Amino acid sequence: MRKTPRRRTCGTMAVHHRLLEQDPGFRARQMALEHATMRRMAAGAARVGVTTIPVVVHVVYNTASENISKAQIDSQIAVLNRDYRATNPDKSKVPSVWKGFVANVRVQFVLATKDPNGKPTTGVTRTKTARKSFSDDNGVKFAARGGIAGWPSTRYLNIWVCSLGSDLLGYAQFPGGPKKTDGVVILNTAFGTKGTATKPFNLGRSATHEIGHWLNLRHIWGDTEDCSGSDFVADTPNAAGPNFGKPKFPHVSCSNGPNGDMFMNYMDYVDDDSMCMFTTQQVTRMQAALDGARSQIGT
Amino acid sequence: MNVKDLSGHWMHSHEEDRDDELVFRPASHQFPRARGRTGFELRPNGTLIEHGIGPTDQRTQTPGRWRLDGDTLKLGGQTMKVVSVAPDRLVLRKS
Repeated sequence: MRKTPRRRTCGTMAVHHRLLEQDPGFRARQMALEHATMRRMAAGAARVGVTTIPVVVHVVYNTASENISKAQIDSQIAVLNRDYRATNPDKSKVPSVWKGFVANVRVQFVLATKDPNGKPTTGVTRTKTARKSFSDDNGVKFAARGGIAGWPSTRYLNIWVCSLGSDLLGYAQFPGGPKKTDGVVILNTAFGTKGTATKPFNLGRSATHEIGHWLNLRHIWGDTEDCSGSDFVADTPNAAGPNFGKPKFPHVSCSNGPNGDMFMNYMDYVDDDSMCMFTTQQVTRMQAALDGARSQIGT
Repeated sequence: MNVKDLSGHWMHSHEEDRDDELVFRPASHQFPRARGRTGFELRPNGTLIEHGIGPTDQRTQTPGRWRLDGDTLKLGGQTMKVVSVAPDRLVLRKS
């Protein structure tokens, strides 16, 4: 849903537009991807049933406590397998007007049992680093920068878990980007539900959100701090900007009353205990990514 | 209030917002961890850097211009009222 811009568009879209203007290749790739996504969304998903995606978790630690336990990693995988199958019990918190929108992504995640060379693995790598924390510059994905290289992104979902600077719980990469940086990065204290996971980001929803981006979902507010942006999904109301904390229903913006923003969507910015759903059209968009740029991954 | 009062690196303390009033604190403030935090650096020469949230959660920095007319702050293409300003707290109202 779109409206005529009432105010400036924010930095995100300025950067996006600058890239579009300065890098003809970026423009062509983005347009081709979006057109393909629209075609696939119209055609319906090619994959039937549940897609199983092998995951490798790269734990990059400086202190012993950052070297998170296998139990903490397992707790994150369990959250993903509830959230991406819509079996999370807290979906009962979805307001009644949107209960019919809650959708099963039909994706499940398993720690890889074979490494890229076909050898048995736990699906977890552990790397000691001299760096106290990383930023959002992809450094954790390169050994030369204190991190560790990912496994082939056509076969594995790479999840790097490390310490990050303030006000960053994680970041992701859309489908169709550079292979060497493909995957998601999650703050160690916002990963899983056990061990070092810390309130209010201790329910594993940062990974749910970032993997949403990895499957081509946009933020629910359309990445503009006004009403001009779109998330290219028809069944999420237009919203002015991110919601934080634990909003009370309804929170109205962009003339979207009476129900307001769908802030309980995984693609908003609320606390872990306040997000609990993907919508039908978001699932269609994710399945389009699995049929398109991510067609090689999973079984 | 004058340009000097507002100059600085302000980050949105969204946890303190009330209704249509937006609260900002200096970047050095001890904010609680958040999924993201936006802000702006206002320079005395009228230029600014907006700190935003990218579409995959990476941070963005965008240059722009700002101007103060009385208590009206023009920030890029946005216009807001300055409710109050102190060294550790800036309150703006959407207009």
